[in-house]
Amino acid sequence: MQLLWHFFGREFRSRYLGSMSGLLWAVVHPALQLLMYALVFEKIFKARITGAEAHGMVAYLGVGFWAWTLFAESSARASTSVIDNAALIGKVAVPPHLLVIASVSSSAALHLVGYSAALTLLALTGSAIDPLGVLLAIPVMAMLMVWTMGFALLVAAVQVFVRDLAQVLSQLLAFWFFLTPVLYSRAMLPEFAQSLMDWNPLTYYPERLRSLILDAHYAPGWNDLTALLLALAMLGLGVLVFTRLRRHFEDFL
Amino acid sequence: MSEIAGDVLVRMQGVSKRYPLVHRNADRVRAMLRLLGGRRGLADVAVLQGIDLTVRRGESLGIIGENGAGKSTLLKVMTGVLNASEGRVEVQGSVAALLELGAGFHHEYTGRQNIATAAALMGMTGEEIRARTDEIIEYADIGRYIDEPIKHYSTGMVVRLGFAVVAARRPDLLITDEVLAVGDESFQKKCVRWIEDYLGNGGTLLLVSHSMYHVQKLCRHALWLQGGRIQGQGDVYQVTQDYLAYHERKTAAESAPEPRSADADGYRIERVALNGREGLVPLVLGEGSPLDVDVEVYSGDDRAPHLAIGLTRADGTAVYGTTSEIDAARASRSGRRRYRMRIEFDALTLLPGQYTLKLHALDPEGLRLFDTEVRELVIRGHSRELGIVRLAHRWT
Repeated sequence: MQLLWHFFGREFRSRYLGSMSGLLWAVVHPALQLLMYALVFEKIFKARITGAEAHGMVAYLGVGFWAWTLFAESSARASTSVIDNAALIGKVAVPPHLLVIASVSSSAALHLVGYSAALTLLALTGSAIDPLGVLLAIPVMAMLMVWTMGFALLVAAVQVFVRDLAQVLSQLLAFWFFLTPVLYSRAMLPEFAQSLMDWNPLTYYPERLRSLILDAHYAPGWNDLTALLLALAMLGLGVLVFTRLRRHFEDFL
Repeated sequence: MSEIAGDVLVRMQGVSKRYPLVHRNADRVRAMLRLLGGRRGLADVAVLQGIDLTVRRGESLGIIGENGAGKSTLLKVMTGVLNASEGRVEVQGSVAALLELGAGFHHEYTGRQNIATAAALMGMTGEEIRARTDEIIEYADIGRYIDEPIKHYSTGMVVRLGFAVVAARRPDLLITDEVLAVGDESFQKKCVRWIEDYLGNGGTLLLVSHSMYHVQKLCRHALWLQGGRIQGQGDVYQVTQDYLAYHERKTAAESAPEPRSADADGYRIERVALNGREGLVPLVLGEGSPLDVDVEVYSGDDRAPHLAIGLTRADGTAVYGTTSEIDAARASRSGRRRYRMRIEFDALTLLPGQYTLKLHALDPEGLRLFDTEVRELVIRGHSRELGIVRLAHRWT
């Protein structure tokens, strides 16, 4: 536990406090991001998303976007967390799962700070952010982190054996992003595609966050349960693969 | 790790370690799929085999062996850095290991940050680390560099830092792998002093070193690894001397035998007996033993030849040489075209180590060198004096 905390702190510092203005970026970055959406989508593309009219483009995008970023960025970073620390594994006795957990949780912590800042900014600039919805979004984000942790353990373990994975993963995540209704809403798709979206486990998160935070739609449904089970299943798969392979990391690093 | 009896810190039973042979990326993928399926990996090569080892509290064990003998792997398996492919490893108590130069240090981080990581890896709590950081920095004695990234450090400074953390940890078991060799003289002395003090206070040490001096100075027992197996184990002097003798034989086998002169008119060494024993097996003597060299030389023209005798250290350093011509000694005729010569040393003052005895047949004028015979000589003993020979001396 001591060691995990240490690695978490080290990772966290190196990523944020290492830069000059430190945590300030955690607030400035989301503000710039929101500003960029406002500029690009509202002013340049004059984009219209079905279902977004009531809330404004910026709020609509902002609420869903951080969930995606948390998943994608944490996974991408965590995928190399074992091989990046090859200098540790095989030299000192360090439980490798700590490296992955520290990597995921420090990325996630940063994005959670960013998300909170973005929501605060949206509320301050007049968007209708529902406070109870934000509170209820906490378990949703927790589920997302469970899912992300499982996925990260899986890719970090496989990365040791398949070195091309990092490249494949960045392509895959880019592709996956467009299959996930972050920049658009499901209602804009043709009929058959709308039901196909349910096969993407990540569809749930931006949609559910928007319904909670923007539409104040609190009632839990089957999709919440499915998402929870999927997140737990991903965690189970990640832990299974990681524990099977971890004894052999040293031989393949 | 299960419970093991009180004073045993490490117990290894039938431990082996194999590395997979992977050349292509496809092999790695196949290996992964096999491992996921719960089967053994692909073809592998064993670097450790059938190691049984028990380390008790208060023990000091030196591990010696050639490069690639598996010494480092053994320590890594023991410390849990590597997983044994077969067998059982049980470890009890706190362990601090200095396995490789700068192992566990991150090059981009400062000395201070790396101290925190290393200490955390050795199981120190955040409070302990904060409390002892200043002590560690002082011990490492690298001045203002402590807040510079490690990548700007010299090798010696990295070792200082690593050792300082270990010294602060005061583990039940200290494991070091050839790191003492890197520091400068004064730091080496500081380390050796610290280790002696640590051993004096009941500490337990496992030391890998190519320096027989360090091994003999710090360890009571030694373990000799050869090709991943235990070749010898026991008293440090016994094992280190066997090990050095092995090296001697190996070097002798590698250097091509010098061509013998078949000259009928020449002079040739026919027979050599050391302390009455013939043959090429190295002669093992205790310190201060007498040595009697008995040589028979063939003389092509039946004139009395001379004999040169020389002693060199394993690395070829000359120790002493003389000839019967210099000493004005005469060979006695022992038969037709045969002369016998004997030289006796009452008490060799050679210090423990490996020596080569070289004998050359010279012509009767003592000018031309005809034949060379080489014998190995091993001096065993517990002396910790330095150098090659003991010079007569007295403290006043």
